[in-house]
Amino acid sequence: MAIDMEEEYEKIYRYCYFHVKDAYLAEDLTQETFLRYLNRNPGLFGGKRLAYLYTIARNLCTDTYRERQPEELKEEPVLENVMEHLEVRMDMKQAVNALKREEQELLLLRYHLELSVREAADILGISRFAFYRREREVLKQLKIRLEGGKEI
Amino acid sequence: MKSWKKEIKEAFWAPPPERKEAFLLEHLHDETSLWEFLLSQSGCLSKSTWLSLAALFGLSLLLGGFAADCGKRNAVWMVSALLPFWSCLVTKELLRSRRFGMEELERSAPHSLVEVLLARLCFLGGAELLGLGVLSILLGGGSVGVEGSLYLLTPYFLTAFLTLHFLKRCDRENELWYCLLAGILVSALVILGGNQFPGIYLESELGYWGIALLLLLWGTGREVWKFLRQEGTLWSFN
Repeated sequence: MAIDMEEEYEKIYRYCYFHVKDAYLAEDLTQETFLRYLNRNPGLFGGKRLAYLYTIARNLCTDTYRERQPEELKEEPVLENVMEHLEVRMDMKQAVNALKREEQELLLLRYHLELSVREAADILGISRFAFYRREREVLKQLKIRLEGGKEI
Repeated sequence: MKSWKKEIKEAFWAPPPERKEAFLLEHLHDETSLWEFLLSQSGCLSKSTWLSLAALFGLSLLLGGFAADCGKRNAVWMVSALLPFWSCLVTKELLRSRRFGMEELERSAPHSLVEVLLARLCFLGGAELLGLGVLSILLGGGSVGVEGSLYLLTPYFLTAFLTLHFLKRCDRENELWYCLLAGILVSALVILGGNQFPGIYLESELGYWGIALLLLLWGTGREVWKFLRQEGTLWSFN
């Protein structure tokens, strides 16, 4: 089935924004993703068109990330006193930001972009079983952070 | 958990995109339905192909009618010798883009080259199979059935398989000649085979025909897939 470009544009844009944290660059990458997707005969990929689209976006973001100068992390909380942090209840955004990048990506695909488990697993290149397992672990991590427990 | 989902969703806030409308306006083509697309591609099939198909159909009918006096089985056997040329017409159409250097032009169209080739394959192949169905009804009065279908479809798909197989190994200039050669070879095989070994058309041999046809269907499908993939990636600039 053909993808709905209008709907997926926003989602791919948000996916790229998650990776590059720059609105203008994210939009450039989004447009580049669609141009490459349209150029590469999407009909050949059958039911995996969505996974293919996100894979292009992911690769573009990774290439961009490598090319850019290392920058200070703006979104990550700077923890000066680890012990103090462990006792404080985090809000959801802080808790999500404190997760590893791959874990954040899982949540982004599943909860923000509302992809199905199959679609998200295809994009991440893992089986559905592995996805379920990772999702459970990530939600467990989130729960611990939100309830002010120790990091695992 | 529901409130969590909402909060997780909100944790990934991003500013709205600013250039979405302009991009979509430029690149979002009018959606056409599958039928509209197939019909539009049917108009792109060359007139010579349609005329050739009509001529082959007429010739098959004449030959079948002529041979019907010798029995239905003979009529089917003689008509099946013409079927390789039906198959060649489909391959000729698939190669038209390559022959006239139209691949790049077709790639700039809204639909990919692969979609276009697949549409033409489905349309022309479907028309030919319909013609075969009509032919078998006219020849056998509707009673040709499984047996007649096997005798007709096997040389058809054998030619399809061979032509696509040759295409990978021959130079572009002589592609059509190789296709024609494959058609002639299979036709000769059918004529000689039926003449020298009439026993292969006995009911007891139907099982072998069935297996042969299944293998050919699988092989042809695979060759078609490889051909379409090759055409699809040939002009990829990435």
